[in-house]
Amino acid sequence: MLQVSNLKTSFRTPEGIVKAVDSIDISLRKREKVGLIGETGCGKTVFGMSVVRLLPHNTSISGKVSYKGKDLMTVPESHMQNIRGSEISFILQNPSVSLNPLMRVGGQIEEAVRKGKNLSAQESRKETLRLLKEVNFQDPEYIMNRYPHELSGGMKQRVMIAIGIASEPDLIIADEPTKALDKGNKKEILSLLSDTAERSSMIMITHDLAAASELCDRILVMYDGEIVEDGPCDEILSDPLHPYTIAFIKAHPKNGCKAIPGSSPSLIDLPSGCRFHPRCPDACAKCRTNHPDLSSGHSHHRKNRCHCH
Amino acid sequence: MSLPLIEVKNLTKVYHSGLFKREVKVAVHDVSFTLHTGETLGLIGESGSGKTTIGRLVLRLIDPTSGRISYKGRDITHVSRKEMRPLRRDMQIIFQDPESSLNPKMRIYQIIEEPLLLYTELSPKERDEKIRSMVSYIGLTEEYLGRYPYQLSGGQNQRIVLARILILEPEFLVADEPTASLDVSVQAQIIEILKRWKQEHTLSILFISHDEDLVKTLCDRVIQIHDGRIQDLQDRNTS
Ligand SMILES: Nc1ncnc2c1ncn2[C@@H]1O[C@H](COP(=O)(O)OP(=O)(O)O)[C@@H](O)[C@H]1O
Ligand SMILES: Nc1ncnc2c1ncn2[C@@H]1O[C@H](COP(=O)(O)OP(=O)(O)O)[C@@H](O)[C@H]1O
Ligand SMILES: [Mg+2]
Ligand SMILES: [Mg+2]
Repeated sequence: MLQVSNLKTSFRTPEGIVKAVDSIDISLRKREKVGLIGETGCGKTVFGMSVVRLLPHNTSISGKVSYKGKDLMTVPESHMQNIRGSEISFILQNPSVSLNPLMRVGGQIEEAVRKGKNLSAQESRKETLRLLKEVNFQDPEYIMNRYPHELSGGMKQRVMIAIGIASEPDLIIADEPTKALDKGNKKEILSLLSDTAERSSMIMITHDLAAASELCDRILVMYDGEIVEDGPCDEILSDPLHPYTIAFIKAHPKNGCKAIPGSSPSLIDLPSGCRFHPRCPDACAKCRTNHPDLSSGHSHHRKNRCHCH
Repeated sequence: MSLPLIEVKNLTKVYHSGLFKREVKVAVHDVSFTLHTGETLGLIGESGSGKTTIGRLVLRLIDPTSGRISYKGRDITHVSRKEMRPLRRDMQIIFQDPESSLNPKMRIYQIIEEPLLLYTELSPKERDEKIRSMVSYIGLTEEYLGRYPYQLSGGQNQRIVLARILILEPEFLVADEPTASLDVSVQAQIIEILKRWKQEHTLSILFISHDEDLVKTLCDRVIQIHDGRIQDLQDRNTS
């Protein structure tokens, strides 16, 4: 239902061209849920924004995004707006920024409910109350009349989800839905997402492997603007192939909290060869000069971008 | 056993807020604990359980409603701001959001230099040496010294915050969810710096977090807080 091929997104900046997304290919089946993981700055949000064409003016974008047979790169903006409001919903990172601080949350949900539908005020209010119940608010009438700043981080995130699912979208792109939430809240958001998004496809953007593994069928690991590993969730977690995936898993407090040496390179001056080679414990001469492809080795359902593993 | 570095007895904090201060919230209720020299004590609990309030009380950034706080055997519960000032160098805090502790208009060099200017009598050359060695200690290169916070990532900025604190070689640090907004891989870098520093220096830490796994990798002991009260005190070795 979603097929992204050779997607490249870059920004012109005074410092140079930032290649935030570089040749990404992803295909997503109906109801399939994939996790896009990788450290901050590797291009996850830009990827999501590229799919729904929500990018600033200094952007140049190429490649193909085909959604149910339509090429989203070429449909007119007015049509794209309809798709964004009804078929594809983007649950934005950081609810304190994306919720309107001057508007009661009920009004913000109603706005999303009305999009693409012809509902009376009464019907949309009813639907808003239902959505608030669906995201576990016991007292929807009370919550409706709150301003965002009167709600906690976890509550705001649930409001964001209510907005995200209001139009019953076919595809949900959720950007860091559990970021900075504590354990209880995180659990609640994850189970909410898995219940409410049951009939939708989902791309969950996160740097939290545990969260991705609870919800997703497949995981894509992103490093420096490109996908370095792609495979079923449980296999990636139990038997990661790419050295970056291995290091990323070991950095989790449950697995030793080991830091990856160095820091991720700038997206302006990408290293030659494999982008991970300056930080890779196993890098060889070939890794320093030749850029590896994302290829399937012994098993066709897994892909890896590495010369050595 | 030697005198504890920090001793907290029956600490309670009640907030009055809202119209005519009619909304009353008991954020911390009858909390007691001690922190020994060189120890890392974890304070875990869900958000809203009172962790930040405890951290700020211990540093006397806010006043307790009742209870007692002593630092190296000295009762600091009621000392004035002025009397606290000489202690500020030794008692530091790092917050979740690095940007809130960095002046956006200052270059990284000045940011790390500022505490040295405030609290030490070092010569410019001595300061320069310290700043450069600190930057390499936190795993960044000297080219970052000329940059501004907005040119750095969140994790790099949090390392700068840490550099600015550690350069004073404090005795006590309250770390209030310092990695909660960072990725696991960047979080691991911060934790490694803290661990390495602790091997080389005597630093006691009150490490606030909602992540049990994280606390386990760093802390000698853990206190669990729920709704402003201590739930159970358990030794990491026995759990
Ligand atoms: N409008 C923009 N102009 C220039 N650079 C940008 C812009 N938006 C994002 N970037 C850069 O693109 C890279 C990827 O960003 P992002 O997709 O937000 O990362 P992630 O979501 O994985 O943390 C970052 O280096 C970021 O600084
Ligand atoms: N300045 C304040 N005024 C009123 N209530 C406050 C204030 N600061 C914190 N609280 C309340 O005290 C409780 C504990 O807050 P806090 O110490 O920040 O918890 P935590 O750090 O564990 O999330 C919360 O219910 C919070 O809303
Ligand atoms: Mg992002
Ligand atoms: Mg707090």
